[in-house]
Amino acid sequence: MINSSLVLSIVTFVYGFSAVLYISAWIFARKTPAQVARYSAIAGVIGNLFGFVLRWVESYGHGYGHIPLSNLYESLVFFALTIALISIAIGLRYRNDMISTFAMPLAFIALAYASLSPSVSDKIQPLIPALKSNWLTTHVVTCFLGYAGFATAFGIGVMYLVRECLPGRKGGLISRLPEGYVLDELIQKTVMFGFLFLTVGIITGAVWANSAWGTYWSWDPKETWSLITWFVYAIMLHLRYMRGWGGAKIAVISIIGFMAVMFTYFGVNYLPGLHSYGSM
Amino acid sequence: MNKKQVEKGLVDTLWGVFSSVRLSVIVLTLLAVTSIFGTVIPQNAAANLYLERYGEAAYRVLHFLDIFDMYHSWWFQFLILLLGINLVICSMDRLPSALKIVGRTQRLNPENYRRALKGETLKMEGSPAEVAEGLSLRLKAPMATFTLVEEGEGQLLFAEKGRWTRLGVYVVHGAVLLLLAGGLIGSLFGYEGYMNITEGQSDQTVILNNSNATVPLGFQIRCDDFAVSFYDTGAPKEYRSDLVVVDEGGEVLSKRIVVNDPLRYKGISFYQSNYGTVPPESASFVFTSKASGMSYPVDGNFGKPIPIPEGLGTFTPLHFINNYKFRGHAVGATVLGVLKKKGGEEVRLALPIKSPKFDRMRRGEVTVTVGEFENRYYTGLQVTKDPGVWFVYTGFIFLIVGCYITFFMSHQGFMVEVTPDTSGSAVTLYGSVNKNRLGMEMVIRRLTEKLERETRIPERQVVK
Repeated sequence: MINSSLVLSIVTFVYGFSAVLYISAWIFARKTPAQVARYSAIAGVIGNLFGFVLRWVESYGHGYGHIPLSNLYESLVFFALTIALISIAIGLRYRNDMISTFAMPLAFIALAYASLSPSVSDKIQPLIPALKSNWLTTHVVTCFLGYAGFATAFGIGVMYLVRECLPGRKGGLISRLPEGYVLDELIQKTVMFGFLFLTVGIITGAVWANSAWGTYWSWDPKETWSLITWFVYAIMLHLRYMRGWGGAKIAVISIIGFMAVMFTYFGVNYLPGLHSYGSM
Repeated sequence: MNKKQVEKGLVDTLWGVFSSVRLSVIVLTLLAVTSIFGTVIPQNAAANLYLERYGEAAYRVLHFLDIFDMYHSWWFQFLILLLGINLVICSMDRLPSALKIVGRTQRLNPENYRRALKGETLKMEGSPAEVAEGLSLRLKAPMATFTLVEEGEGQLLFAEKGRWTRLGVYVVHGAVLLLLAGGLIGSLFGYEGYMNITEGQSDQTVILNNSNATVPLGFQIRCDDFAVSFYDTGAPKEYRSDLVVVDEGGEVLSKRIVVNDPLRYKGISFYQSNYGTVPPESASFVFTSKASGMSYPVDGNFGKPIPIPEGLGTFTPLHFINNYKFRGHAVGATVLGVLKKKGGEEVRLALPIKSPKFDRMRRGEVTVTVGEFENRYYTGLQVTKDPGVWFVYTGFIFLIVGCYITFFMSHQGFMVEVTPDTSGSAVTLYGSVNKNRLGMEMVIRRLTEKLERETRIPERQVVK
């Protein structure tokens, strides 16, 4: 009997396969593995989406149907989907597979953590009263689109530092990365994409909190950390636009920003607060 | 230097400091870094918890710095105020020149564009005037309406769009100011508190969260019913209360509220936040005599002694506890009372409702069991009044719209250069943009490629 957990476990390996192919295409400078990697990444995204929808359907079988965005397992599945989707979209638009070379492993890690880690339960649970709201979908989807934008910016930032700061010979591994100024602009673009969605995510969260608890802001650790993340990227955008920062400095901030994102996502589970169901 | 000059110098310096991006970056960094403390150190907890965790000396220092309620401390509020002033001064400093730019029209200077982004030069049939006329129709959709300038024998087409998007960033900054204003109005003219209303009863005062002071509502809230339901797994499914607003002697509004669906009336909102059982005033107790084996049900009130039949003394029920712990074990709702034996000896009894045989373990002359009692819930309502919330929501909308304009729209200028060539004309596309050069580079490249496909294919066929 086919079920969503099985589908998503298979997708994990498809993502892993795709990531390995992308990396070998880079290392051996061949076109064929990159093409196969792109097709398997697209197949993985379709499978990931299918697993997501299947889990949604399954929850109705349990008698308490809800969109699968209510705990850590479900959010990781969605996170992997958004990272893979965004990196493929950028790859197609800029006609360059290198972005996926660094982003696909992240999608693989996210899904592998969800499927394989014993501490992440894949059990379908009913929604507690606080989560029963139409804002659940908008809030979680926008937040994760934001996270995925920042994850991609992080991947590109690492790529930039590798390309510009390590000594590479002509025609070698490092010189096959996209040119520095392209990466620099891409960091900017993905951060702006992430920033817009994080802004919408924080706002929908605030409106939801106001309808559930009567305050739009209560300095709960997850709220505060999302604001800290917002500050970090706001600082980056100001330094870039107004003070002309670019290159390695911006790449470093994109990495610091992603650390804040990761803490907002995982670290906060170790602190007390209203978002405690994120750790289930 | 006279006094006036010194004053002017000081004002200029201050203006320079407050209008600088450096100050914004410093304040944002300070806000980001200090905010971390409040997520690691629990906020608004009891003093002895902090003493236990951090020790006396550290406690004093942290307490002095208001770390235990840091988001409302003077220094954190000061940082937020600094950010607000910075935003206002920055906008006052830069908005006039931005408006001036937005009011202008495109500068038709070819040299500016020749230094900007450039596509490959294409060859086309026809004189420059003919080609320019065709292109001004063909490229109008992706660019804009063109202005034609003749330069020697060549023709230059200029177009631009999105000049107004330069104001997007001021929409974002205005939105942040609205958020700050909304927060300030909320904290000055609003409140947060709670009400516990027993089923069937009314209340009209709110107890404030921070100070325990009370605020009159000006009307009454009656709770007709409260219910809680659970999933098979034991997790809570729904909490709901049926509330009625009684104002000026009449029922004006009734609503069934659940967790994400509050009641709102006259700018005050009532949220389902918790619940509990109201201790009953009376209950029936069953006394079983060890000697005769007979059981006697007797009703009694809390606080008053109940005579036990067969002259076995009296039992006084004292308290009804919702979650009682007997020797460290949670035993649920429990009646606590005192049994006075006929000899005058007093024994304290704990009688869990769920385990009627509990008192038998005492092996006394008489066994006491709790019978029926009236079981009523109270509903716990979170009550808030926040007149600033509409400023905040307006700010939210402007923030999203402003971010979109700032990040994804730009002021784009185009120039199409048509010069005479041996086969007819040579065409080059130029583009300049106030941000996102890479995007403009792609636009120019794609338009050039498209133009080449559309204009050169027939020529190639002729060659074959």
